[in-house]
Amino acid sequence: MLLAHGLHDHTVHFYHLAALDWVDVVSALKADPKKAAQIAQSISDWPRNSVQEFKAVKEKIKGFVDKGRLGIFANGYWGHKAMKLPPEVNLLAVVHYLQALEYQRYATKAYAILGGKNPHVQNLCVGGVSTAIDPDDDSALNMEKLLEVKTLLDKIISFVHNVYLPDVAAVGSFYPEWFSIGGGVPNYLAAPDLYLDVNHSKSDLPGGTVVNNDVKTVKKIRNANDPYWRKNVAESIHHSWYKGAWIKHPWEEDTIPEYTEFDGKKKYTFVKAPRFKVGGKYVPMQVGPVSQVIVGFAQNHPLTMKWVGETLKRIPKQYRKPTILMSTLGRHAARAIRCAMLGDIAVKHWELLVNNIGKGDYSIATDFKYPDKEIRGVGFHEAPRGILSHWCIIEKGKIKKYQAVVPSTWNAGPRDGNNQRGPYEEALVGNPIADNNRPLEALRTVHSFDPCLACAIHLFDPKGHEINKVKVL
Amino acid sequence: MVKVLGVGNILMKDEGFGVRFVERYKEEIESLFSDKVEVVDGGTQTLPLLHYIENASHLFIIDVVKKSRDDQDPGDIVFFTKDEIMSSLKSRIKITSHSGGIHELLATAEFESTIPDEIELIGIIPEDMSKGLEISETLKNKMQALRDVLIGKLKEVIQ
Repeated sequence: MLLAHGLHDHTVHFYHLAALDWVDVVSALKADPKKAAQIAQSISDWPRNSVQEFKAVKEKIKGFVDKGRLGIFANGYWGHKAMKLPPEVNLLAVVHYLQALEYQRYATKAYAILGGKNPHVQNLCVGGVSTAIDPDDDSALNMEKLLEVKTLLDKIISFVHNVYLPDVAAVGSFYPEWFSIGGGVPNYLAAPDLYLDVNHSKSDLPGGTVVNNDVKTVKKIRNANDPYWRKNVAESIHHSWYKGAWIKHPWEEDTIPEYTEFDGKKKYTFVKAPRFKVGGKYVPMQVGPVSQVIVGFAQNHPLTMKWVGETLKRIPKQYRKPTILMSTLGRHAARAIRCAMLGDIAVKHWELLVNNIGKGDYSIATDFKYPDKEIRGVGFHEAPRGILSHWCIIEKGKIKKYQAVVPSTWNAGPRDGNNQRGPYEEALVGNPIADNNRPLEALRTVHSFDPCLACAIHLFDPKGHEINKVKVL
Repeated sequence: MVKVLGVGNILMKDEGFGVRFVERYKEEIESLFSDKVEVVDGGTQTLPLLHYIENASHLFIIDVVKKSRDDQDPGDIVFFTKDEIMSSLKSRIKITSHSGGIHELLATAEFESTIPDEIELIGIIPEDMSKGLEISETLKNKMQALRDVLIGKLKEVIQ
């Protein structure tokens, strides 16, 4: 489930939420479909890079433009000076944008079979899941459904390996300056995930920290009980609209909103500022695929090394070094690398599951009895946008305190009591802006973090006004 | 296949009306039309809903709708045709992963050529969109009326 979710989320983020910061849809109208298909065929042997398909997509865009209706592409920064792809590469990207819409369905379907329902799976319970496994029961997870999951996973994985990853490298190669822009906070934090045993002693995704852009500083985090993790997290509200001005551990803090006017020197956001203690000092941390990849690279994690290598091979020689990951485009590359890793791990974990069922192991959850006293615990997960942790204090079986420290808080958080900027803020320092009215470049950097800011309002407005305006800065 | 899609954010009272509607009537409506109708809780999702609506003969969307005329009151039921919905599309470049909602879903389906032929939005004017899990009494009291309207429309398109 986690793997299907990650494969879906990363692919959709690149094509449908971020690629149009780099790809000019309107310019694709000037493309020669034959030349575009040739370029596509030269970077990958994906079977759906045919001249016919490229022609059809160009016609489709033309139809929309002629009708004066760009639909999803309306109000993009078309023709912006910072758009640099040749028309053929723009067409290639739009063709794959459409194919990605089709392929994301396969990941969604796999996720729904395993989770019982999608969107919003409802099969999670304390200690496991509630989806029953029984090879002889039509309504449970049986072999037929597992084979369907495998077919669906194979499709999305093939897309990730043959289209998504090569496209990120190809588009990135036209914007090499963005391999050195937008790095920002030089510290990285990732959770280990996809454990191979119930004691969480071995995981397929590596966790840990790297600070000061120096892989030699790497420190492992083995699981959520690792004291290096449990002891060193804190959140600051010096610049956030909550009552007080402190930095506290998640088990000790509270969340009492207290809105005051926007004041860049004092309080200016509802986002808290999570920090991690390294060498006695609380510092900001970047989280997300870039952190997982850098932390894995620093540990010589074989699967990370494999896909970092595959990706760098596709980038022009003069830029071919792992440090390019520490940038705006690097965050996109790292997301594609992690997604490719998830593909390999998905196949492995599917086989592990089927083997377990073959041995007669149908267990889906570990029963848990709450002791009669106050207990505290933390669970974490390397979600698509980065490390997600829930800190909980339970007294006599009832929740007494619950704090979630989520990925976009780590990245979007404001300055702390020592005036250290958060990752978005730091990454935007020195970001070029060619046209102040159309700040495409700032969007590029913020989008590269894959922000998760608005599950807010989805009201239908008959006049078509812009309803949920999100202020990026 | 005919689809009914209820959307909204259940954390913000009336914003979650579409989802609450699906929770209450999904089973009843699906069995009433012996599985010729599928009722889907769309939550706040966009792209993951594409395959639920693709190539549906008819799509009914249940959502809260912003008041646009002085004579509209909370709880009023309002209707929009496919043309009205599509011509109100003023989608922007995306800022967040969840923004956009229905506009974006339909615009994407249109570009993909998987958009249902017939679409109607059955909306309701909200009263209270503050933080909270319960919808307002005003809208709760209108649920049954909206169900009746929807069932009437479903009968028309299925026969």
